[in-house]
Amino acid sequence: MSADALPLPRLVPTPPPTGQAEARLLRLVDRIKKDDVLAFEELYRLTRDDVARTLFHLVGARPDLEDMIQDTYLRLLKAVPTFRGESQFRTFLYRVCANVALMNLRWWRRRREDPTAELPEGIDFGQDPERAAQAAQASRLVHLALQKLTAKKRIVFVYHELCGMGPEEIAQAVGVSYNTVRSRLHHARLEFTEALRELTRGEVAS
Amino acid sequence: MIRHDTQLWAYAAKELELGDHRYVEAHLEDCPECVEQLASVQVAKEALELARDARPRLAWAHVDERIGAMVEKRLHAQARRPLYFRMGVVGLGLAAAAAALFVVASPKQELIPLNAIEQPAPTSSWARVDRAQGLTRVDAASSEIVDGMELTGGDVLRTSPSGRAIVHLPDGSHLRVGAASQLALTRSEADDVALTLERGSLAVRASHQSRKGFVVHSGGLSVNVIGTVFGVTNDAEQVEVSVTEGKVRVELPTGESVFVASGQRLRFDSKTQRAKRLKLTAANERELSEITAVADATTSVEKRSVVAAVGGSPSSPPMITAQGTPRALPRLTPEEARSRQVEAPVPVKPALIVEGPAEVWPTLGGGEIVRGVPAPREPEAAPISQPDEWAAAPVSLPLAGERVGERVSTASAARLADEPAPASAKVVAKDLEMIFMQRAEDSIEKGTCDRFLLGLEDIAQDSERNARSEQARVLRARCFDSQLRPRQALNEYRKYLDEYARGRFVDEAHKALGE
Repeated sequence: MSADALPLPRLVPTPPPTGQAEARLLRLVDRIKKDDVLAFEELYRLTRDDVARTLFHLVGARPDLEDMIQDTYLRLLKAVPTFRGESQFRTFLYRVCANVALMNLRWWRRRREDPTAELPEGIDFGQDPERAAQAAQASRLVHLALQKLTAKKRIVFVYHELCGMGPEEIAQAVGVSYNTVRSRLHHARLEFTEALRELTRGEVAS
Repeated sequence: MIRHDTQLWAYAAKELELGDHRYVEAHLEDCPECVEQLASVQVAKEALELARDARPRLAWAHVDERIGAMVEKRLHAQARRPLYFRMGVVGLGLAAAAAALFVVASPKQELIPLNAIEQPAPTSSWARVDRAQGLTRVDAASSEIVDGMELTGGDVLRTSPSGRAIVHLPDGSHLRVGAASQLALTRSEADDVALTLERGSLAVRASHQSRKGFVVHSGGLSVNVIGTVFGVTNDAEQVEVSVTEGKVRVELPTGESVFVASGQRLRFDSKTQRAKRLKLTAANERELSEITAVADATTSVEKRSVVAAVGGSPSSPPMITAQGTPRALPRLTPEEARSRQVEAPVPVKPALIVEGPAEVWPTLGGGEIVRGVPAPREPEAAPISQPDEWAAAPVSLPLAGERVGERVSTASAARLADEPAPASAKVVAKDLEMIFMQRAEDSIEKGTCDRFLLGLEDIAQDSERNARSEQARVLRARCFDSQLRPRQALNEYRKYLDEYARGRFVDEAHKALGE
């Protein structure tokens, strides 16, 4: 059996639902459907860190990150009445994030500007100074390497490698088939590894 | 060429099946190029691992404010129906009017009503005074308002220097109007509330019901409710907005709009036209916790009354049924309301009636019903079968030092104010309170004490401080404690220490407060 004959690797399965947290979110969704402002505020408080981190990974450190967060919650507010509970709410939320990120990435690409040319500042890397320094360096390289990927591949790659989502969940969140997710993830991994290798070589050379 | 890249990441991530994993492992031993690529993959994975926990530092206060405003705007927009919807409603209204005209114009037929009970008119725009003390309606007659009276949009309420009132709005919100206050119910609809606090203090527990708006105007400020517990005070020079739960948006006379969140207080100086953000004081929290307790107790009691109405039996434990929600209330005609206000109640024996029909009767006058409470009965007390003759529970009694006997046995409102109550009536009231508190104490262990909270608060606020009012305060604290509501329990203990510095339960209060 040669390596050529091997199919694309079978990916890790979707992690099980988070139970109580998911149930709590679903209860809030029910209240939001009844126009309960407080429920939406609570949902916002529960999810805002996750949304901010996800958007940050999807698009990098951008000056308009706050606008994107607001846009995400505006879209979520509009979309919640259509949420029928067929997927986890987290998946639904990530789908909204993906759409917002996609729009943003395309917008910047059309403008042919690089909003992340600057080093990512104002990023929290934790309390430990040594690890924080390593994380800052790694984060900078990762985000530079991610820019080499197309928006669609980047979203799948970030959701799998940085957000810990399984391929089935990503397929639901992105609205594509499982096999498409596998294919995009495979190519994204290759491109990311290559981009990172180039960046590392460049750093060493300089 | 061997496709190293296909499998290496999956191999490094341990995502491969066992057979494939072993195959790649064996292949790596003979392929230095693969080993080099695997090293690159591992570097990439380590970098991702380090970058995973990075999170942006954002000005969350700013983001929160923007999103709060966005949500409010969005939900307001949803509340406003589109034009075609409104046109449809108008069309339906016209059609209904035409149908009504046709029915009126057509020859009348003798119809036998299937249900002889008169259906109450919709009362969605009626607010109700749950409890009143020294409360008057500012009109030509400056008429006094009693418990259970209904209010409509446009009514202006005024409390005396020692007065206060609890008002239940059609949208399910509760208001507590403080002493020496004047409040106008500018709009009092089920989906739209506007209040104007001209002076004094107001505490609001806004319901979670969706509506067009809930706004309190005072001293040039507009306090837009996002939710849920807040207070407004207006002393002519300063207006303060305090929030203990949820958030409000305050529009200043300068056109600026600020949010006041839970635990915050905004003071606006009318002279300097400047607003200052302050922290909430313990006194503010205590004041606002009262409206929460009242609203919680009323809601709880109302829920229970529904259960009782369905499945109550004479052997049930003492059941307090407050009046239902405003929508469920039988609407009083103006004549009935006037008679409740001016004319004497029908003379009733100052006795508690223990027996009664199985059904739970609604009271018309803001009183709660106690069934099955064993109480002394006057020899001349005749069997009672009418709803109005059910004795009111102490939960509605002690406002302004009012007594059961006084309330139910006087011949007229004027007499109610002028003449002292008969001694026997006071005895009955005292017995009733003692029985009520005994029941409340028993219910704490059973975990069903929430329905007694309202009555205990009334007894605790008795103007004549005595052993009963002291015990009632402690029972409220114990009840909150048993229901895992520590904040309210601590508030009750603080109140207890304020009121009874040398009381019987001082040790218990100090212990609870950790002093």
